Amino acid sequence: MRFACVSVLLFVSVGCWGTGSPPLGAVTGIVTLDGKPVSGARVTFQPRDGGRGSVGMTDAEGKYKLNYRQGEPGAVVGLHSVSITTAERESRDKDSKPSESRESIPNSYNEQTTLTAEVEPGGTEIDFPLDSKAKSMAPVVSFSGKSVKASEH
Amino acid sequence: MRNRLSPRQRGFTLIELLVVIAIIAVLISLLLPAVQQAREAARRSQCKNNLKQIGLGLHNYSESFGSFPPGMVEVFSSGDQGNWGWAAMILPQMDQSALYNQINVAGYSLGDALLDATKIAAMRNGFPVFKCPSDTGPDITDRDINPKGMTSAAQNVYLCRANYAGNAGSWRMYKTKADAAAAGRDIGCVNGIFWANSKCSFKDVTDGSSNTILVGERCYSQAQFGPDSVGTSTQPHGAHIFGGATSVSNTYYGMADVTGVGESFINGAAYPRNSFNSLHVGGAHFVMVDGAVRFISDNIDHNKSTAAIDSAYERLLGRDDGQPVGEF
Repeated sequence: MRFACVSVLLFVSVGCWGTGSPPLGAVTGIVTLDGKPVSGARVTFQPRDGGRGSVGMTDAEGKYKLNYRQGEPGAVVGLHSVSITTAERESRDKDSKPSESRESIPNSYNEQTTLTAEVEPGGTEIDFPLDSKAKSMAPVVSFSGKSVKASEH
Repeated sequence: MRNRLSPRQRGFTLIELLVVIAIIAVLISLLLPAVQQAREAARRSQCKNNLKQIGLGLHNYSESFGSFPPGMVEVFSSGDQGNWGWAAMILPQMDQSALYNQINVAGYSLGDALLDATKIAAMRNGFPVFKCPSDTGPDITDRDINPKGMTSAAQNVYLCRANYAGNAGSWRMYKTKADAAAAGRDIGCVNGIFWANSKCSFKDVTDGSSNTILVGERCYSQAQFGPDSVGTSTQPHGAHIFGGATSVSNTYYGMADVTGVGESFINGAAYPRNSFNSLHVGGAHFVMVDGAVRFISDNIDHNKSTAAIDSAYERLLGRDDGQPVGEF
């Protein structure tokens, strides 16, 4: 009888399996441009070793939180390229023209990004103090409070 | 005889009975979720079959005419007036010759067909091959098209919802290469199989037909496209079978009604309207140019931030990037 109970439990536990996501680490932070918080910016983390990236949008205080998928916050653990953009390619109102003119962040932070960030298991807080006059210089990015020089491509 | 009626014979004890009931309960509780999964598995099979049919229809069209159909036959480029899409072109190859003749795809633009109430009724019915059974969206889409010469919002016409969009390239959506160039873009744009007035054929798919996506899924709406973070509340809105409006005022020039690109991750939240997504958990179905239907995981390597074709998913969407993909 005890044996029967144990074997039933084993049977049940064998039936459970994971969802197949790679290891994720939670990422939050604040995006500022010349010291002022940027709202409505799309922050995209792209893993350097390939795979699905994570996206977050900044709120009025410039705070973002990355989502890997809906209901799965975080980003793949490891080194990421980061791009930050405010251009809205899709009009919310379906009959208005989409515009890319809203871009207020220099090119070197989005399409030709040189920003990188390391996502660690557990929680990582990564702030992006951006500079509107930045060209292709490597910007200074702070990881978890400490300032680190971001590496170039 | 006497032995069988022996007084030693006894029934179950209460404990034994309870154990048996408990085991049966556990087994049933295992079975019930499996039944739900079997239903979703059946819907997936149906969706795969739909894509297979669409792939075969496109192959038959290509055999007859020497190329894949145009993504959109651009007759009107203003005022949301309707143009035929690629799926309308393959109706005869999909066993829908009667519908093809009834709405007169050969003779007129979609804008002309929308002047006729009986043709509108036929197009609002649609047919099931273009619908993914897992999609919970309404039968009639909320993406409007206008009849020829009628451009006010009051004259909008709404047709049936579809779930399959042609591959328009690996990064961003434009009507043509010329339009992309006008916006200062080239790489990763208009490098799929379908664009406005396209005549892409097998020989143009230089990466190999098993390495290039032909048609993929687009769902109508999904909880994950909700406002999980500020500003990402757009929904994919599904696709159109019969066509769309390539007017400048329309989002993505209406090409998003019939085609998709790799601007967002599979089942991703940003720009789902012009990308590929489904209600199947963990990915979406695609039919490759060679006719094989593949379920591509949403964990696939995809770098959407830059124009460069530098990830597996972008290589699958690009037909001539020179970087075939092995396993994916």
